[in-house]
Amino acid sequence: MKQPIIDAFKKSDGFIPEIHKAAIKVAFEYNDKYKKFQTPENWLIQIAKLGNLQWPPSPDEMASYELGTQPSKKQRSPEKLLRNIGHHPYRAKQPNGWSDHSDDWISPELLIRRLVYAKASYNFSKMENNKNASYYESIVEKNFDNPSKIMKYLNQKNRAVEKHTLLFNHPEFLKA
Amino acid sequence: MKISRRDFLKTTALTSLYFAGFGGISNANTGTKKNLVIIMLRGGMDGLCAIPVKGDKNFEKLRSKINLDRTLKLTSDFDLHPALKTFKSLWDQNLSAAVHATNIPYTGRSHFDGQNLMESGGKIPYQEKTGWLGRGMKTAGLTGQGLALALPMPLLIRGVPMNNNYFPVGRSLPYPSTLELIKKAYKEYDEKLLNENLEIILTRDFNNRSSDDAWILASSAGTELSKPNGPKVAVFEVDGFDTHAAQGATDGAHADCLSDYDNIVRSLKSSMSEEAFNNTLVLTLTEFGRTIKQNSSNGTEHGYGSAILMAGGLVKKAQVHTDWPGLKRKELFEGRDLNSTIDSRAIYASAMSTVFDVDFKKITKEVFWGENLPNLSDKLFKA
Repeated sequence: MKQPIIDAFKKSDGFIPEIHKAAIKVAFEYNDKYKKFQTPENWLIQIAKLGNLQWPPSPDEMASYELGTQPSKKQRSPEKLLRNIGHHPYRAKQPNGWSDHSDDWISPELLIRRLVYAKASYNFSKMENNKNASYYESIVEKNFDNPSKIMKYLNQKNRAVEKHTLLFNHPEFLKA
Repeated sequence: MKISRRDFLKTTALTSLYFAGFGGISNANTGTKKNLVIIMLRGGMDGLCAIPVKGDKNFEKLRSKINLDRTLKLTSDFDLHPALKTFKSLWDQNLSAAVHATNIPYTGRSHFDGQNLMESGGKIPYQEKTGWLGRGMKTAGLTGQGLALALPMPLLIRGVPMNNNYFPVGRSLPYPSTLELIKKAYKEYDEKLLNENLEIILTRDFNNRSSDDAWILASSAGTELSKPNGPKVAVFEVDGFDTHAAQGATDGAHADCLSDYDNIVRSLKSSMSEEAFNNTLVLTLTEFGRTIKQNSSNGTEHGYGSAILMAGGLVKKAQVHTDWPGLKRKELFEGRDLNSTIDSRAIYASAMSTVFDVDFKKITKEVFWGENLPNLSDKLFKA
């Protein structure tokens, strides 16, 4: 995966746009071949997007913050949640940011966060989705390669809160 | 062959002892479980605040606003910060000691670089992806015997698989039947690492709804370290030693952080069995010390030399081990910091050699890339 980027660096004598082009090309070509364990932040955002959750707070909500005032509880919620899942946005332990090595994000406590917050994500789902039987089918159909297999896995539980926990801890969801 | 009565009695006595479970001295030693606990003091611990030097008028003058007005007595040369009450109580029982004027060989005074190096044990920041403790455990074959009381897993202990970490989430886990289905899915997709970690979660005896206060974590860790099949290594973190302003003296910000450290040691001591604590070594680790001179905000800046606090039954004796460099201007590092005369990696290598029962040279070779570090095991620790 690295070689095309190294080649682009050598060929262009370190010309940044060429290296970026090579990196983007590699990302597209190898995306399906290599799956990577997602960082907690990516994982959480994917849940919010796929599950059509009422989280994070809307852009209007966040933009209503006035400089010099205390942020509201809702405005502080993204920071709090990211801290709780072990991926605080401003507290990386090194200046080049958080690690992007999969192994660094797999430990008992970090895995517990995935289990617990996948379950908690149910509390942010919209009322109309909770009562909609085709909600999970729609998510699975659009986002997984083998929908019938995933649905069979989900249908082992009846309650929506458990389906949330199962879906967002499935290996195909944890790795992307 | 003639067997005398005396020989006969000796032989039968030894046989009886063997069957009674006394397998001989060498077997007993091999079976003793020894523990190593590292407490990372993040932010740059001021060694001269924790263990101030006695009777240096120049030092007292340079720190006129942050001098300690009350101390605990250690030796004829050094005192102890009054926040370190447990340390002093252990000192009186020959169960604690310190190394002064020591640091990792890093003089850049950056928290980011310094903390990375204190954990990795390397010389170039961010070059190493594993920690010296993780590599040491790997060398000793201690897979699955590390416990970090932190989130996420600190770099220090990375390098050996299957470490456990505990930092209570404050919520309940999903139902066991749901977890079983997830486990099945991990197995089906051949996700070994995820499966192994889930297995740890399902089998361990930790309360996920507990508090994440350091002393409460220490109590849980102490219980685990006391178990014969429990972890042999534990790692804690204490933040907040970066006191650029209002450092305080007897009380204040630095004193509070020292108190946090002391509470961890107290909690470990009270939660561990006597035998376990007697076979445990608790060491501190920090990225650098602080300047001799206070600044205009009554704090101190990033420095170089600091101190390592040691506690537990594997400490050889109550002592302040040092090659004291002096505090005159020309004796200071770059004219401003306590110098470091002992490479702290030598202390950590000696500690690992003692606790893990691995040859010191093997540790320096496998963990510190063959660095020429002195073996301080005999001076600091009980073999």
